[in-house]
Amino acid sequence: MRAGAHLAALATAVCVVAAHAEEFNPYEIPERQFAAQVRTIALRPVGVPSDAPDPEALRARIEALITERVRAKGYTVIPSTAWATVWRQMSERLGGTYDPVTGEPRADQFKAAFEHTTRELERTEGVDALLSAFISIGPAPFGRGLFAFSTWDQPLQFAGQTVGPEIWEAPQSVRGAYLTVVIADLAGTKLYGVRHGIEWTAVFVARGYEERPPAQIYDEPARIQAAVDGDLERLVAAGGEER
Amino acid sequence: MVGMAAVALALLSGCAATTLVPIDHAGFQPEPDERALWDSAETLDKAMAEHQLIDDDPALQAYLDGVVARLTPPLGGDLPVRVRVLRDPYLNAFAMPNGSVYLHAGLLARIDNEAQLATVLGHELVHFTERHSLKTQRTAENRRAVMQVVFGVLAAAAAGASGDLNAARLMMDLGDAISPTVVDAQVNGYSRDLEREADARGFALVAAAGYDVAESPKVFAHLQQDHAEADIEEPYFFGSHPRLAERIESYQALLAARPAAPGPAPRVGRDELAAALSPLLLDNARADIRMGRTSRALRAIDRHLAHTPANGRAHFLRGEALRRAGDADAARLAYDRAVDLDPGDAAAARELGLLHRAAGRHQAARAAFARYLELAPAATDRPIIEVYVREAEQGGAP
Repeated sequence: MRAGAHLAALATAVCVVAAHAEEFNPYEIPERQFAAQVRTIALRPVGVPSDAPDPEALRARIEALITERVRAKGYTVIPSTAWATVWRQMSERLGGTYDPVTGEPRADQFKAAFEHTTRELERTEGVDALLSAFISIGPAPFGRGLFAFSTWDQPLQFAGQTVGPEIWEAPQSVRGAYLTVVIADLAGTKLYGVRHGIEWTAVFVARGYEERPPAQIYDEPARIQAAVDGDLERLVAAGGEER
Repeated sequence: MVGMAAVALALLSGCAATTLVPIDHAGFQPEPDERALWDSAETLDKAMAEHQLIDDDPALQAYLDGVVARLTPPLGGDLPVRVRVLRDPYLNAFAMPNGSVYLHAGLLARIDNEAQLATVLGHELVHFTERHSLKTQRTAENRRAVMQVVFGVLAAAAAGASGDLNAARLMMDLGDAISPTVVDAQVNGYSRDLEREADARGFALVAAAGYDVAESPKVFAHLQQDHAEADIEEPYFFGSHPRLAERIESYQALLAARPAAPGPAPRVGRDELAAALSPLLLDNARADIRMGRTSRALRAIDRHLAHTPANGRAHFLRGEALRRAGDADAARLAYDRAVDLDPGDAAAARELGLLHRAAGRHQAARAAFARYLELAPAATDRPIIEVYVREAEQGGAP
């Protein structure tokens, strides 16, 4: 009976994951239009949490994975150092994109720096799209039950422990770290956007959340790779538009 | 006994759903459950206006009111109908239960003539007068399941407008304040039977108003072709390929069954519509450019220019669309024309400078940038442009 319940939970979770994967199309424009329009992609520096054990290493690992996969599909990839250099130059010319006194963003300067950075990369590198990747924390759903299996978009995993009467009080989501990838044209119009889970950041235990230490979240290369692969799956799919 | 009474009530309720009298005068009072639908529609009316999603061109409004006035006499004439244009680039039109009829700018921009416009309006007016929202409300089964799908569609449409507030995002923000029936009708339309009723009665209105009914199926064929060419998923009823195919088939059947009518030539109204839509075409093209839909934008701009060829702003937008489409040479010509027509257009001067700079035409770049700085001395990007000017003076960028 118990094994049967496990199988049922597993089957339900797999079905939910499969249905979700089948429905979601990350392209904001027709795929063939994307293939015709985008040839050279400039990477922006990957946004990573400041509490990650080694943010620079994490940033570099994600950028390397993205570069390898996108380049293998035939796109020309311009490393984020190019963006960072030009952005810094433009930002300095404008007197900075943040108010030095209040620390508030200066919207007009930010817009102008963005616009001139993209135009400069278009001129010097032939860039026609920008890829932004960043990690953020958000709700991650899981199925309520004796074994709180994930219905999230990572491989099926145990998300928490709920035994006794509190099983019915358990929330339908925990918190998770996501890797988002957005590809936009030079005017900032989103062409492709998707996010994939990396790992739970807090699990439900008994009646409360138990936070995981950042090292457990970001130090597992396989999870980072799975999130990158998940995000870029449609972009680099074998059956997709070839360059 | 109680059970029998309940069955009788249910039967009466079922009869009520199918024997509604049409709305045919301004003083019409809705039934209690219909009042909730009207309230919901009024909430959405108010929100659309507050968020400035309504086009406020008085000439266009007067023109649309005139078309409605031609169509409504067979319905009673004195109807509480208000037609408004939504600043939204998606293909859609919808009538709400309280008589508010909305035409999305994206749909209007793709209509060829007044007879086609009358076809869309006639169809929507029938949804209102025949109280299709109430009929749907009373017969709908699993509204919750339907709404999960509808909100998924709306989420996609809300995201697609590149950061601008649009009708989809507004409806999502309003959430439970609007009846699911009202939202669902905008996204999915009504049942096949109710849509066919709107086709047939709407077609009769178009014919009675003296319009050329041969144009009726064309509007849907035109939208279908546009949809296929653009290959873009559109979220609403009038952007749905199967729904458009149904409309084409339905209107073609109505046209085939109509006996030849002797008399004066029916009204098509191509020039009248072109004149009324001219400003809207540019506004909608700007929205299409922001969404990366450059071919649609260019078609609309060219229609505008056919009517108003000396509009510098239109040539500037044409340059923007061409540049976004990757045609720098054609874009430069369009910006040149914009500057010729409007020497005070700072944005066109700047774009010319950037295009000349990218192509290594240093002197031309310098001249265009100098003009830009003269026209917009307080521009935020002045420090960057000044660097470009110095580069050009020294023979080009590194």
